[in-house]
Amino acid sequence: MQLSNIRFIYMRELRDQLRDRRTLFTVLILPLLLYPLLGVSFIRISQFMRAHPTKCWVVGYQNQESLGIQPDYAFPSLLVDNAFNPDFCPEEESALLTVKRDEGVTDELQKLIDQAIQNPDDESNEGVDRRLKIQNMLLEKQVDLLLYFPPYPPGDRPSSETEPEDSELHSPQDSEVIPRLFVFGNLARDESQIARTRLFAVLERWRTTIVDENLSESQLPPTASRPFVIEDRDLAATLGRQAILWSKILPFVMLIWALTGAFYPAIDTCAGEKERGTLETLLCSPAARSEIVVGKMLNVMTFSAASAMLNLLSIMFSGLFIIQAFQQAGSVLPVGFPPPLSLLWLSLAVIPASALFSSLALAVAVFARSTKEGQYYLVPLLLVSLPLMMVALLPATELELGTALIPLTGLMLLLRELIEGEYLQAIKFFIPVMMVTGVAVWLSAKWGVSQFSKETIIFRESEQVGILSWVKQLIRDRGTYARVGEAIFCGILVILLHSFLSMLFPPPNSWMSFASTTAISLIAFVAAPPLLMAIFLTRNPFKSLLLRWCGTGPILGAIALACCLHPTLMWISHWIVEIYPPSPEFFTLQKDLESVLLQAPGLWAIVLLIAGTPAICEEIAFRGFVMSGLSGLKNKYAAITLSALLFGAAHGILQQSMTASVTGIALGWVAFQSRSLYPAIAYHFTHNSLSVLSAAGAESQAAEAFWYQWLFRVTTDEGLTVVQYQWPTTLVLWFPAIALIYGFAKLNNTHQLASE
Amino acid sequence: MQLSGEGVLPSPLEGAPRIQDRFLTLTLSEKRLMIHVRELVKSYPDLKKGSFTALDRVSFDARPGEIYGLLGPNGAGKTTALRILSTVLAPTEGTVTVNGFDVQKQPGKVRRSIGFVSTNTAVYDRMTAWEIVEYFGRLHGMSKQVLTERMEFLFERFQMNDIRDVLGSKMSTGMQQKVSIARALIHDPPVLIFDEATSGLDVLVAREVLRTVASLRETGKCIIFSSHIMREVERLCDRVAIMYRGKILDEGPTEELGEKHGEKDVEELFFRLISMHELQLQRRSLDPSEGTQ
Repeated sequence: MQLSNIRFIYMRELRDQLRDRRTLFTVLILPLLLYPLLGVSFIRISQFMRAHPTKCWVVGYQNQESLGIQPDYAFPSLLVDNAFNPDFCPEEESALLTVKRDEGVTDELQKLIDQAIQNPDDESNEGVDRRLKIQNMLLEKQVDLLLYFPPYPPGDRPSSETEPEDSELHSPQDSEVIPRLFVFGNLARDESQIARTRLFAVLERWRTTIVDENLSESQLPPTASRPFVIEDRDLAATLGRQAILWSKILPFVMLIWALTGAFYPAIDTCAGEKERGTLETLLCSPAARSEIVVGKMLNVMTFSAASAMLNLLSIMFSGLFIIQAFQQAGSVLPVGFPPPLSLLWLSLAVIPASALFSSLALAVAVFARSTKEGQYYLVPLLLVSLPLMMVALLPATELELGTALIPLTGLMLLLRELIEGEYLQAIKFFIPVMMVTGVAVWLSAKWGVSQFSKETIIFRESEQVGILSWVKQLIRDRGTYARVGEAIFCGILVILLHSFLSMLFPPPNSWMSFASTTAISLIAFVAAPPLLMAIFLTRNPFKSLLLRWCGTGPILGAIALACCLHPTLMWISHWIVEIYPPSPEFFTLQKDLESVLLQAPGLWAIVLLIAGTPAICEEIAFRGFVMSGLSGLKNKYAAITLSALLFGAAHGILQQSMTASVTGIALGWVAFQSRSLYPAIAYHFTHNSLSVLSAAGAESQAAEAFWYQWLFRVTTDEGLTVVQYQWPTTLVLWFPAIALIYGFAKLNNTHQLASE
Repeated sequence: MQLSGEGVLPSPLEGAPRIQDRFLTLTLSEKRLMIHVRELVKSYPDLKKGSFTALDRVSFDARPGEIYGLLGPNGAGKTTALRILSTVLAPTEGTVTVNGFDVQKQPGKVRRSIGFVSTNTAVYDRMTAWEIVEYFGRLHGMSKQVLTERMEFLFERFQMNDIRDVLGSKMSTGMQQKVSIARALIHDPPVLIFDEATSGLDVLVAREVLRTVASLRETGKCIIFSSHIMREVERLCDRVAIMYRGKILDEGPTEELGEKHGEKDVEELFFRLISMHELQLQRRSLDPSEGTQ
């Protein structure tokens, strides 16, 4: 790679983008305008909410006796001279919540109110019509709310002739019914909502005063109704308190804009150049493909980082402006100024984030033939990235080893700790976060370069999509092994079938039901799809499933390797559980499984079911069909790793999936090197059998034996027996394991499965 | 009658500063093969047929000071062949060398030896004529001083000084083609490839482009000129390969081809060769043994 060429390409791309109005607007201008405009709007809305006067229509105020207040007690009045009592509504609030008394209350309105009280949830046409009529009346009277004091408990309104008598009968003092006030408003209108908040505050003060005076009248202390008050004392430092909101917002804004900022330049520099016909001009130049990709990637990265930083600066300055504006207005916001050091941490983190998004966006955008098509392809990238960012925003998510190892989530959480000033916690997980981010950047950059080197992608023509011709092509052009796409499809199909259809089976309550559901699920959902696909989509199903006899040597070697690597894999499983602790449901399931296994006719049956069946079914699927198909990638490490990841994903529980993925690499290595499925089946069977036998040994008399204690140590976790190998055993077994791995390496030094 | 560049456009290299490049040393006395294509096959995956062969065992050579024409209808495989020559596409089978360099083993050296002008090689919309040519000169490793001298010369000779600071998006098609040619000539390559270079141009601009190509022959360049316009090829090229459905049906100097097939008119000759080829294919489909004999 020539650095000068990269520099020329980068400078040209940069100049080109700086002359593109669309990119400039989206990446540079928009952030500078967006947040200040949002800030100004926010202040305006707040001012509107604070200053907008509202009016409340009080109807039936003369009925306030019905509120259940001691008859001989002159309770404080809610209204004084057509305004709320200043004791409950201070002067500044009173100006914003004016009162309109009974004037204009017609019989029709009274009737509507009564009906609305009696049928509060009436969704019939009549009920909706009634509500509309009340709304219209509120609008006509230019009020935002209606506060109604009913004369009697609603629903029992007496006729006019009998009112006095019934009034006494229905007197709240004699009734168990708690009297009610009714507030009618149209909450779809902002003014009505604001008025409601203000009115409720006033009514609450009035009610508290009445309660206190009632208690006093009854010679009871106020603590009779309020046994205690709650006072909140925050121990957080002022900086921490101020930083808490920023520590969540700023990393999110940085990442989302690093992603968005990479979109447009990536589309323009790849799909746009294809569309304009300038890409071929560049491909004919002496610049190598890798130089072109790196130059373009650096340019996209520049815009991504610039966009993220401009957004951050804009949001921080807008924040400062809003907070200052509120402080000047005498209001207190629950957020302080952004911590000064946050900009430093964010500007450091924007480099890997932009590099990651730029390379991903470039790799995806190069696939598109036009800018329009490019926009469609980049949406999935956003959909994949967003959940990873949202995880970090969840209240319970903390920076720990498990979250540090998740791309983007770890970076966001690290930034959160740094902004909050939790440096010790940040330093602790700095290396894992940077390692994961670095690997993600490297992989995505590699993908970007490989995309650019494929002429099928650079010169992709419009495809004629036809299912029939596609199926015909699949059958006509079938080869010895499955295609890469078919292999991945098979892996995903098995995962989906196994995960979802297995749920249809009722939870096993006996050994027989457990054995039958496990066997049926493995045979029907794991082994059957690859078998059928091998028959229909390959020329030689026997070969495509790697059912080639390889001799006894590799099989015995695989068994020995499984024995030697089992302790290490058990330790890895243990560490995974430490890093990602399983949920309590996991332990419940394990206990249920243990109780079912205890009903088995013998240990042989458990081994047959848990070791034998998966060894055959899963190997046919993941090493047989999937890995052999992935050998079309012409890179055995990629084929082994991808098949192992799919194998891991087929195991339902996250912790199991991770361990299975690691085991899958060993299984893939054995199968690829021997070019046969039998050593992988032998390895799988041995591995699972050792897990079953070691666990069974802990529950038997063997646990007391010297050799067992020399090999294993038994502990309990959440009531479950955990068998772990002793460290010396694990380390000693690595020596023969290395020899065996080397032996397998000698079997096949190519990236092909076919030996001819 | 062959088209000559004489009197219309002076040789763009006449009096131009020569670039000292170890890969680009060329003299007219060297009559070695500048382009050597043997048994070239290029196939693409195809949804309907499984595989589509764009080039089927194509072989041809071209020498310095010669314009070699690829004549064929759209879809004949001309662009695919030229993309392979420029290392943009990789051959499925066969060998291709340009200026002695293998397109697969030494793609960088091949690209330094060629200048490629095609309907697919557009100019940048948001760059001026000067910036575009300068950019490619820098990618070819030319020093600032040599590049400036060379650019001054090319802009003068192609009468492009008026459009120096005009953005690609503001240029007419003719202007864009001039810039493309200047861009292809900036590093003074021994091989020039023109793929449908007059396609979409008006008559005047097309004529100017053709005369430029003709003038370049006289400076000893090896030129591959592909077109579907028969008159153009007939007037410009020293030798012609008639391509159809990924095959070269026949090749040679136009006069020789005319004599060989009894057709003096290139257009008639072209149709005659295509008809014969179609007939042959029909016979083969009726009697498969014929093809093997």
